[in-house]
Amino acid sequence: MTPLATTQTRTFANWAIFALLLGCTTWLGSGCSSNDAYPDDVVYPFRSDLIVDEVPKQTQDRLPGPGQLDKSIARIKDLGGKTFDPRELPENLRTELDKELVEAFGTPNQPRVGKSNSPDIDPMVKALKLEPESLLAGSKLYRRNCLHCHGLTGDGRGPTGPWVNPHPRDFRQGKFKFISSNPTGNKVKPRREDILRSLKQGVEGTSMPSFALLGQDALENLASYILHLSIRGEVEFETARTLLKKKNSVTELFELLPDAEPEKETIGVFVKLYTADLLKAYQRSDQKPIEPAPYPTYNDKDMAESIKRGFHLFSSTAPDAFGCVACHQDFGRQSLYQYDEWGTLVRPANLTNAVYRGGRRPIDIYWRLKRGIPPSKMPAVTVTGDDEAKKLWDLVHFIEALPFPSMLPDDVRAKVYGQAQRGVASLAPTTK
Amino acid sequence: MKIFWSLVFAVINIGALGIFIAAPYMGWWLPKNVSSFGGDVDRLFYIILAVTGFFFVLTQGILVYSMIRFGDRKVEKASYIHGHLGMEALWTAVPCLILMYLGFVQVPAWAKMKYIDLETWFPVRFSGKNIEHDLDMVVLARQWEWRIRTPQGSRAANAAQWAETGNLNDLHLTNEIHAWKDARVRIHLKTQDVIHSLFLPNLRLKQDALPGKTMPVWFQAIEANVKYNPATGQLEELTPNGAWEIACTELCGGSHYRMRGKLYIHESKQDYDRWFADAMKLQRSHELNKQANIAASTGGRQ
Repeated sequence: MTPLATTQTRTFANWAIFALLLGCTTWLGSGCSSNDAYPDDVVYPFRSDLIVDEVPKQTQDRLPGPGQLDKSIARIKDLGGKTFDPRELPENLRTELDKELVEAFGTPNQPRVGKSNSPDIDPMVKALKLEPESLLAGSKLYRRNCLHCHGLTGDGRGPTGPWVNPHPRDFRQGKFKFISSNPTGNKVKPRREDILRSLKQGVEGTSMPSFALLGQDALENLASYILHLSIRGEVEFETARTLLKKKNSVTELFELLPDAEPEKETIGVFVKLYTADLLKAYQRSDQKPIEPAPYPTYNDKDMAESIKRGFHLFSSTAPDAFGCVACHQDFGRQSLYQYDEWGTLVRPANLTNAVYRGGRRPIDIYWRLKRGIPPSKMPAVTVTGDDEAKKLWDLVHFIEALPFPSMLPDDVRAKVYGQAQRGVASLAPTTK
Repeated sequence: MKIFWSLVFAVINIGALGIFIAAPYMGWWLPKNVSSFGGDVDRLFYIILAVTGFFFVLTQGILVYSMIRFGDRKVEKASYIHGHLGMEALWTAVPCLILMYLGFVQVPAWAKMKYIDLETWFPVRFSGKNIEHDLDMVVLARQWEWRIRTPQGSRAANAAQWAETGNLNDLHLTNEIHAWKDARVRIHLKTQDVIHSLFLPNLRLKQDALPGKTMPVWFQAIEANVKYNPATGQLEELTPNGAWEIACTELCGGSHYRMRGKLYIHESKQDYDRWFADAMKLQRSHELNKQANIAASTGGRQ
């Protein structure tokens, strides 16, 4: 019988195994790279998913399944909405726009807003804290903490994005839901505080967790980077949408900027002017928070009366009421799904749950009522006359008391929960 | 080269033992114990450590010795023993006795962790009484954060009902547990999605949160780490390395590692109440607040 291995090969095998073990230990011990920056060659890809121009009016009674977002948006056309495919832009316009976007906004590794040394926008960039250093720090944090849901371009289509409900926010249209600003002009943007609030507190009732432990500086940088993604996305979105709508006429792009006096009508000039316009809108919004009149004190009896008035405002269709039940059916317990401006299906909040995505402070609820939630079609409450604050606080009081039957006056409680206090068991916060 | 593998095993074992002995001096040891029942938990840990450490050294010593003597040096031929009744009885009886010892010795510690009013050492007196507590708290785990809710006035009137429905005047926090020194805290631990596990290393407390269930957990911290400064609205650390952690110890998904938080033990109930009132004022804000904007940020020290 021949030996299976000679002494020499056995020694070699010993050394080989030893070297392998040593190699593995070194490799494991070295850990992961601590450099969070994007690689140099990563660029923001040009938008390839459908642009939602108009959404269908009808409500839906259920959601498309997980991972079906793009399919569901593709169906919008058949349901009476309007969508455009950015891939249908002529090659030359697309290349030009892509080039201009890279010039204006850089790459994930070198993010910026506006070309360097543009005296007309530099002060705004500074005021909004969008300097390249802040954006770079933000992009690193974003890559580590946000990318997997919100995606490279902020499209809400990161690897885990399609699988959670509600879908992660798509920043690329410059639209935000929870806004506390009341600017003049038609572009309503969030205040920086609004974005920071979502980052700090998370968005209760969704998959967005709180990032408060990252620290204030990190959150500031993240907010800046989100503004960068949002402004870049909106410039891309509006340019592509208008071109597709207006039969690829570059001249007609400038109709979006009625006050501008462009020296040349090219995509490059438009991107520049439109970016400046957006920066102006953000700055205007940031400086104009909604400040309600001083809050009066309510004693118990006043409060009960106020809640009753709030109930009337919420549930009546009388001309002096707001008729919130039209959408928040059965106080939100039986709301139907509607399309929001991103083309996703959302449902008016179930207000008996005590879960408030935009924050639970009374002032947050006040802002939701006063400002509305524009992208999801929740209208702002309009009050004629000078008792606006009073009516809004009445409504806030009712909404706050609604999830807690014992806080409601008897007759209101009977109307909301029935005589036997039905529904108490369903008050626990749910993930719906 | 014949002795190569024996040496590798010897070096690895001696190295492991060396690191282990050095660990407490390098700061790689248990975090500071601040729990009323933490001493019992630590004592159990050291008992088990002594038993396993003894057998580790014994078995590894025999292993390396045998490798050298019978494998490399071939001083004599090893003999193969099969079916030695005395030996079999010995290594069945010894672990059996050790396990029985551990089984009995852990009962009082377990009871102390679960029953706050236990006084006798052994046998355990299960009184079946409700735990007398000073502070109620709902800890809701979800992917990937801890959402914490505490009632106004520290104790909820009907705790079981309150844990389900809550009140308008509850304080909501994320990733921050606040209590005060010597407070008997009752946590109603819940989860919104998958199984999580609440881990408070300084309190020697670990409890799984199961979907659909409310797990009762209690702790009592015997040391404080923060003091609230009403003038600045910030928490000030009392100890230099005062950051006490909350962690999740049940792999719960992609960002499991990010389910962290901070444990703040105030020095007194008055201090806690002052902090609570200010945090509550922010959460019940009816006006635009120009400084800090949420209750969760009153922790200040991020």
